[in-house]
Amino acid sequence: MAKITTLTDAQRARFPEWVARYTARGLSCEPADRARAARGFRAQYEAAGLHWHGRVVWVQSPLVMAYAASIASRWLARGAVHDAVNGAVYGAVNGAVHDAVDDAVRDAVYGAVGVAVNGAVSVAVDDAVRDAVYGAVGVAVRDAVDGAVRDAVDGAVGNLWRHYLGGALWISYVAWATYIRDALGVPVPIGPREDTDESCGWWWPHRDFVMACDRPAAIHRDDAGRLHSASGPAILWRDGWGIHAWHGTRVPREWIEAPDAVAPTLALTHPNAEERRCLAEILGWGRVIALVPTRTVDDDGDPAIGTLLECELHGERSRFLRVRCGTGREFVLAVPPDAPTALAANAWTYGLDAGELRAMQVRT
Amino acid sequence: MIVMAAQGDVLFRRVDAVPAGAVLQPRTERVVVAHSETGHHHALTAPGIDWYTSPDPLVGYLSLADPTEVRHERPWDTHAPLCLAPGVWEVRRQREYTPEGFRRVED
Repeated sequence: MAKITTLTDAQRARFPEWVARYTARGLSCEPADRARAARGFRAQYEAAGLHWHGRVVWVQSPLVMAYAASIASRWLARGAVHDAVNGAVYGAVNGAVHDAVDDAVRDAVYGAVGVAVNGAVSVAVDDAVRDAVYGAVGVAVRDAVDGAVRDAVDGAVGNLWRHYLGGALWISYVAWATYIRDALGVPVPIGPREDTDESCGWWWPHRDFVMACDRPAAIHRDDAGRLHSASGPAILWRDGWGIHAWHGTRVPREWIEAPDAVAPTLALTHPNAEERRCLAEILGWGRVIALVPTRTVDDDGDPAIGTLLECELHGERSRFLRVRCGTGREFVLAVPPDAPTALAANAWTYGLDAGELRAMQVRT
Repeated sequence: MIVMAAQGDVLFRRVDAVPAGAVLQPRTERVVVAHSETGHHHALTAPGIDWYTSPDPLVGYLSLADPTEVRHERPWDTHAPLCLAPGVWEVRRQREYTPEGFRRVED
């Protein structure tokens, strides 16, 4: 067929249709379509030149998959040669459709489609949800491996859990490829990926089995599209595992579900500044200040420089700088107890003195 | 002309030269000047960026041949891009106090 060098206005006018359709499919909370997913698994094995074993094991959450698939794989290999064999299976399955699609669509015009379609779906699905799921599973595995069950889990799970394919949470690629196929009329062999990414969550390909995960039972986002729920998990799977998030930032479950039991001093001392800001917003600044008796040492008048606060924490006199960042959000930073002014405290956080910080021209 | 600017927890200050003791890193097209544990890095993407680390883990140096944008790689609550002029820039990560001394602000 003739090479496509530009997109017509009519073709561009269909971008929003694709973005809406595939964002909805990526965020779908319908139970998995197991039959369609299995067709997709088989087709991707066959595209990779691998024997289709026909064994699909379904689980309800990616956390269960991370453990179960890794342990099953290790057990089948009796602790040996897993990485070499299954790493090859994973790479082959993951690469087969990509390679075929890439061969079909080597053309610069498709970059524009990628920005408009893939990019937009990515913001809604990948950035908001996919990364949160990956991060939450990673933290859960790390905590387990670092904790009490180290001996049982460490060798088995390790990094094997990362050999998953994203299913619905990787749907932005399907959005891009189907636009090229359906809106531009270019034959693109994306069908196997459509079958999996439109019908299930994560799936884990192994030489002897596929472990596949259901889609979430619920996904909650705020008006800006960020993962958010003030009353329960922002993502909930059918086995009860979930991810709690406050306007896009993952936070501990108890901060959302039992905030009255959270020590308000954590809003000043929790190690991660972004999460700390969330806790202050969850509890409310007024409540934090009321529950942690605090006096104002110095108010600069410029919110970007901030207000220097003092309170007693664990019997020690402590000072904090409450400051507004370039995005308009308020953070609290611990500063030295002898910081004399908000300006000096703010400068100290950057390793400068107060005079040097006055040269600041732009804050974004 | 801008000589000092901050993008979230990263401060950029124009200096005359890269100081002795700074170590030039292998050149890459993308330089992350501030890694975030939650994935939203502060980064520059352009050919011809020289990135130096220093003995102070909170301080690095950029040597730019052309005007270069620093981007905050997060799709929400995004710090606006900063355009740094050609020259040498000191890059300072924000820190906060701990009873033991200080720690880098983690986000």
